[in-house]
Amino acid sequence: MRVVFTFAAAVLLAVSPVGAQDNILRQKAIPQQKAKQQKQQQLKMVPLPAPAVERFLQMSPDDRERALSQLAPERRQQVEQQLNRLQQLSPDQAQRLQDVYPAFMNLRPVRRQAVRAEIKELRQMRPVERKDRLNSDAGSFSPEEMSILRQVTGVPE
Amino acid sequence: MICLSKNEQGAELLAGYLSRTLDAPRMAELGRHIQECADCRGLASVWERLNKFAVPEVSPGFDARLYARIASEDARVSWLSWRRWLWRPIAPLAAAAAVVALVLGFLHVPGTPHSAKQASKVEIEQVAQAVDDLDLLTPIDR
Repeated sequence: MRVVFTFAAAVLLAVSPVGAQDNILRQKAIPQQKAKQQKQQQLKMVPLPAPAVERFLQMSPDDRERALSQLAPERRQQVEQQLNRLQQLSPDQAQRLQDVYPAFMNLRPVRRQAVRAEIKELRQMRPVERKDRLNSDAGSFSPEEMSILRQVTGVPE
Repeated sequence: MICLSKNEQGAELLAGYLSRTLDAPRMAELGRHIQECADCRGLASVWERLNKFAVPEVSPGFDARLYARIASEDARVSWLSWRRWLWRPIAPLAAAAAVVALVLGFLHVPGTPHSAKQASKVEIEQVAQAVDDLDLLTPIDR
């Protein structure tokens, strides 16, 4: 009996550190796996249509940190939140953004500002109100601008 | 009274005014104010001229080439000014002091050179603006 007890104790002593080590290794593997998944997701993502932003996203984490540190804290937080949102776009949304951004950038600065202001207003409205507003916008915006507004809001003609 | 230069949303108001997207009472109020206020009149005329300006197409990689050129130009100018300075009559003494200062500067100020830092500051502002626009233009989920 004593021999059996000693053997069992010895087995427990020998096995438990291995189990713990195994756990630690498994825990260490989780963030690595997550990073790998994120990288794969990034590779699968439709690239953002703004070259400056794509360049920024391809920077090393250190360079990115250095660049972001030049912004005021609130602005930095805002940019980081927006980037997070952009990186989580569905392929369909990313594709639509690919179409709409170049058209927006082709507008003159004053018109770009007017379209920005209108999209901000439209974003705060309910779908029905948006539709009405877009119908009344037709007189104030060019066909190209209306196409941008419609693509962003998803309201067809 | 709406004074564009004193209003946080002055740029948006002006854009709305110029594109006639403001509501009628605001259009009328701003129109009256622009006639009375020289600052706002100036601002409106600049924006109107900007609106008429034909923006030329920018070639791909323009930003990167521009910043590289600014950085190299800055480096060249600072090198030329140092050379001119070294040729003055007090050159030997000053040169020695300059070398010491330079060495101390290298030892105590690590990191990127000023011009590169300035370029990257401009670049991050551009990234932030582009991120703002991309976020705004993201299609609304129905």
